[in-house]
Amino acid sequence: MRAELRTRLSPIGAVVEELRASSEEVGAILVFLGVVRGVSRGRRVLRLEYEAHPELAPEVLRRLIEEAKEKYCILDAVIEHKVGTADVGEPVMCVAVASRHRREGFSALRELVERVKHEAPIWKKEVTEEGAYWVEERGGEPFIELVSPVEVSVNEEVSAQELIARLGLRAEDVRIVREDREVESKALLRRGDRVKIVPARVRPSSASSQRGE
Amino acid sequence: MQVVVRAFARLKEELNADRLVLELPNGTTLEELLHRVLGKRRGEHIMVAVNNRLLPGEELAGVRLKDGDVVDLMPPASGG
Repeated sequence: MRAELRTRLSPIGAVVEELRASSEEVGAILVFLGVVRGVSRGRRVLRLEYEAHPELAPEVLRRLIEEAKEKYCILDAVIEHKVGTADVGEPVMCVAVASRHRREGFSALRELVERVKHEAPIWKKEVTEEGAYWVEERGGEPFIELVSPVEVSVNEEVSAQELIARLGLRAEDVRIVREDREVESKALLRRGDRVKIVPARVRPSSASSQRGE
Repeated sequence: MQVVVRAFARLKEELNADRLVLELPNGTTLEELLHRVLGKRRGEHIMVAVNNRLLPGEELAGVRLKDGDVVDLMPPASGG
C-alpha cells in the first residue's frame, strides 16, 4: 500500500509493476489517471494549483485504501496526488488497485476515486484566462439536484453511497429509503431492492405514501 | 492559553493568514474559536482538525481547547 503527495506523479508503468509484484494472487490491475482539462465550464484553463494538508492528506489517503481493502477484499492499492502547479494535460491523480478479479477491482477503484476527491484535504485552484478561483464541490463538478422523491430498482449489489454517486447525486443532498426505513450510506442494497431516493430536506416519513403520514 | 490556528487554500486567502497565534481564556471551546476566527463564515461547511485529527461535524461542539493546541481550518476537499 502506498499513498503519497507528489510534485510529479510516478510513471504509470512503475505503479502497475509495483502492484503486479505485490502478490502472486493479483489477477487484475485497474488504474485511474486524472489529468488537467484544458477547458473547464467553457473557460480555457491555463494551469491548476494544488494545495494539500501535508500530514492529514496522506493519512486520509492511507485510511481510504485500508477501508477499500476491507470492504472489497482487494489485494493492494496505490494513490498518488499532485501538489503544486500542474499544466494542462499533466497527470494529477493516480489511483491504482490490484485485485484477484475485475469485479471487486472496478468497484473499489470507483469508490476510491470518488472518496479521494471528496474526503482528502486537498484543494485545487483553477487559473483560467478569465481569472483564478478555488474549486469547491458546489462550484466544481456538475451534479444533479433532486427536487422530488424517485423510486429506483436495484439490479446489482451496490452500497447506498455508490448508488447515489452513480446517479450523479451528492450524498449530502439525498436520503435513501427502503421499506419505509432510511438506509445508512454504507449499507448494501441487494439486487431486486426497490428504494426511494428522497431530497434531504424531505424527511423519509413524509416521503412514504404507504404510511399515510 | 495559546492556540495556533492554521488556514488552508481559500480560507487562508480569505483570512489573509496561513497561521494565527491566539491568546485565549482557559476553557475556550472550539466552537467559540471558530466563531471568533471565521465570523459570518462559520455557517459554511468546512473541515476542522485539532492536533492533526480530523473531527466529524458532530464532534465539534464538545471540544474544549487547551494550551498548545493546533487547530486547522480547511475548505471542503476538491482534489482530483
